[in-house]
Amino acid sequence: MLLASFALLADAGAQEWTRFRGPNGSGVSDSKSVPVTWTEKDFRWRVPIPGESHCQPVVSGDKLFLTSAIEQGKERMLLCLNKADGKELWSKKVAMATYAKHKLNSFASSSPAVDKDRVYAAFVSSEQFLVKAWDHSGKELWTEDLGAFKAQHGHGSSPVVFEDRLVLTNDQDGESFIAALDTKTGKVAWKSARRGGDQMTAYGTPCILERKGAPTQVITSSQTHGLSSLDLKTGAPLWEAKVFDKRAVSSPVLAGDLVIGTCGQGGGGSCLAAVKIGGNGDVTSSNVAYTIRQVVPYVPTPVATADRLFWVTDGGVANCAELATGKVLWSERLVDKTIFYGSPVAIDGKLYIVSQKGDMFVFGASDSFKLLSKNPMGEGSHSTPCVDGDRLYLKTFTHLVCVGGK
Amino acid sequence: MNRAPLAVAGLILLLAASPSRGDDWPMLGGRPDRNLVCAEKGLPVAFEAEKQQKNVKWAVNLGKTTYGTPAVAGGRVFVGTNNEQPRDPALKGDKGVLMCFAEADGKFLWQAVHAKLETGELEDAAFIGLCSTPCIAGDRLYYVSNRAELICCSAQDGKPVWTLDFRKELGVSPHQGSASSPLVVGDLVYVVTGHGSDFKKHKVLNPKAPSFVAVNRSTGKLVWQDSSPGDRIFAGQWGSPSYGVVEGKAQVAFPGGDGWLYAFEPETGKLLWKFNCKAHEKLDKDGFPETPNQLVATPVYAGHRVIIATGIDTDTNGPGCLRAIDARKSGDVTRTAELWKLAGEEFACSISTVAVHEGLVYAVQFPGMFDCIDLETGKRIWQHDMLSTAFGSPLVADGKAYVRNGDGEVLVFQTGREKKLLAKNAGLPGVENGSVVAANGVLFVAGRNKLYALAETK
Repeated sequence: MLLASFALLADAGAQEWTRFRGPNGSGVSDSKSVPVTWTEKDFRWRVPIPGESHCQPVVSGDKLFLTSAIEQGKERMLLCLNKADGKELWSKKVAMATYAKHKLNSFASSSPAVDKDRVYAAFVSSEQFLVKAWDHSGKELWTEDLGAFKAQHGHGSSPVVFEDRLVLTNDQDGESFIAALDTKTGKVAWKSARRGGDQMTAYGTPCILERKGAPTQVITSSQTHGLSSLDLKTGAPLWEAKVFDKRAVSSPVLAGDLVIGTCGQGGGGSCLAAVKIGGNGDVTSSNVAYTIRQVVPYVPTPVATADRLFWVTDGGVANCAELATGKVLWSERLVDKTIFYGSPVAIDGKLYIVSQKGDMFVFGASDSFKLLSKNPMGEGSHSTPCVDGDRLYLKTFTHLVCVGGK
Repeated sequence: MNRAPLAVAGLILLLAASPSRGDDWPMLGGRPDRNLVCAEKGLPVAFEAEKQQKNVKWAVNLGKTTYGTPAVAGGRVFVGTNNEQPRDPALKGDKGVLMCFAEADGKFLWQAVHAKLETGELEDAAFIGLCSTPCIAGDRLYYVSNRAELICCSAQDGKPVWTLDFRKELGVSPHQGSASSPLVVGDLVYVVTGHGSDFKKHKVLNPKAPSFVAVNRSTGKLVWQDSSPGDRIFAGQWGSPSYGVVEGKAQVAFPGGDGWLYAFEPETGKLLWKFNCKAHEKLDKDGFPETPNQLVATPVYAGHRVIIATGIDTDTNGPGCLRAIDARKSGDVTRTAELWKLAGEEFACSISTVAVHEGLVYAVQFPGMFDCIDLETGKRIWQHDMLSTAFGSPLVADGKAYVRNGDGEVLVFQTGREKKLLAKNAGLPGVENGSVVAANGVLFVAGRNKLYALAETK
């Protein structure tokens, strides 16, 4: 009995949506009771959030944490809300300079990361890359400035926590590196230099690879390094598959023995690549399992289930392929007069993704296409949902919406 | 009563003048009416260049971004690109480049290279290269550089003849890029100057600067100018003019950055009519239209009609509007000249130009739908979803409609009221969005970094 409870607790802990795209960036929830259809009247709650942001909220215990930005990014915010009713418990403002970004990006597209003691957020400008930590009651613990951030389209990557390390990717147009900070002090544990350069900014959030007999690794996606791995302990580069010739905006996804990533530009995705994990140095010629060049996404990140890979293109076409081979089983249009910049998440055999117009599309994670519902979110969105038990939270441009729950 | 014999006589004349091998494609759209239809025969339906070579006559490297479409004339192929795969190793860095190749074998002949504008991103975005499609008339070539200059040079060697600098001489300020494709008819060159709103201040700083000009093709001297959109240009003006003869009278239509289409008397610049192509859009509480859509596509003259879609580049898949406008009326004809439209849920935004052929309109919607529409009624007859965002424009030739999507796939349909997909060609390596053009029995496909000549091989 006790053991069973512990197992449940541990499971619940693993399932907390504590970072961008949930458990290790997979976008896969083990929840079974999130609603499939709803109207605006069915919202558990919907609250206005100051400014505008495209972040995804993260959860710890009974609290939600999210970022926003007001006055053209001159003030960045971290907000802590009560997840029961969306009421603000506390918020922090950080004064920063504004900067030039893509008109469809926001000044708060990077999501916070949270562990049991602290919540972390990254805010950038042309002069600063501020990483900050607070405890869950809002007490500021530390700030670290990683330096100037130069990018044509702004910022997107979110911090990731693993044990006592906070990992930040900083692939940009200027001096580029991946950094690991001590979660307790904010001190830089290591910095690993990267090949940045003009228009080489990457916008994805890394994931962590744990394999028996191999060092724990940070997996990143960028145009210059492709899909690549660094030793989490030292920052030493381990392997890279240079599979991208365009901008990397989506995040890398671990799926069995593969890492999946996409690149693209302007009008859409141009390559989805699956790379076998392992090897040393440049593994481009040996480890690429497959690449797909038709109907692939640029901004939205794919989702892998046990043996299938799902993705939705920016233009609104949903796809299903065999994970192992990349063989496309179907490509079906969800909708044609909107665009998708949020990423899909998988919940109980279904995929959820929100359109720019603010409709949450739900379709079956199955071998034949089935659109299950199209649900209003009250406002447009470029964000990815956060799943927590029987609830789903979504940041729309200026609100946070909670669907489900009792 | 005399019209039929005259038309027949004209046709005979045209046939007599055409060389037996086919026709050149000397400008954007191939002809002054910009209707994407040509008389070529025997064009390849299927081709491949990855695993095996099939019907690839030749292929050459361009830069790494190619927004212009090729123009073919006098045995040469011209295309604008950037300098990311430099032909001249001494010329390094980001540039706007016009390349010229031999039509027969793809041999590189010459290039014109233009430095980026000193004002940077705001007027000449990084790596966009040279976006204008040139127009060839006789031994002269006309194009707009990335520096917002209308340039006349020798088609044989690229030697400059004259240059009209829109910024220095006319006070023009482009918005992110100059992209208009000139049109030569008679003694005049017609072109959109690319004047735009200031990228940072979001307004037109010099509303008196001309947006539309007619220039003497021999001297480069301005013949007339018009600043119609004035301070109402939303962003930039990247469209190109078209020329038609309606009820015996010539007119030239310019797409404005305010979403209006303006038609002028070609010789004088006198306004004949104007139409607000955003008239169907609601205004928000501040008086702004509900979409950033404007006229990026080129208007097409088809008899008394002009057909054009509204749209904007990459950032929205929202609703757009395709219209047929009656070009026989005068003044502000927004309320009186609309023959039909497809809008709202019926038609997404589009930056593609249409092909009008045997009573049917072939149109591309930005999210990737390819439509066949009845020219008389505006009713959709069939549609094919290409599943991938499409920037390019179709081509109708030899009873087939060619269309390319964002993955570089070229789909080939039989023309007509029944949908029949003849071939779906995988993207040629190095090729993505864009159009397909044809000249002298050969298809030309220019992509991001390659130019292909495709022809039936025996």
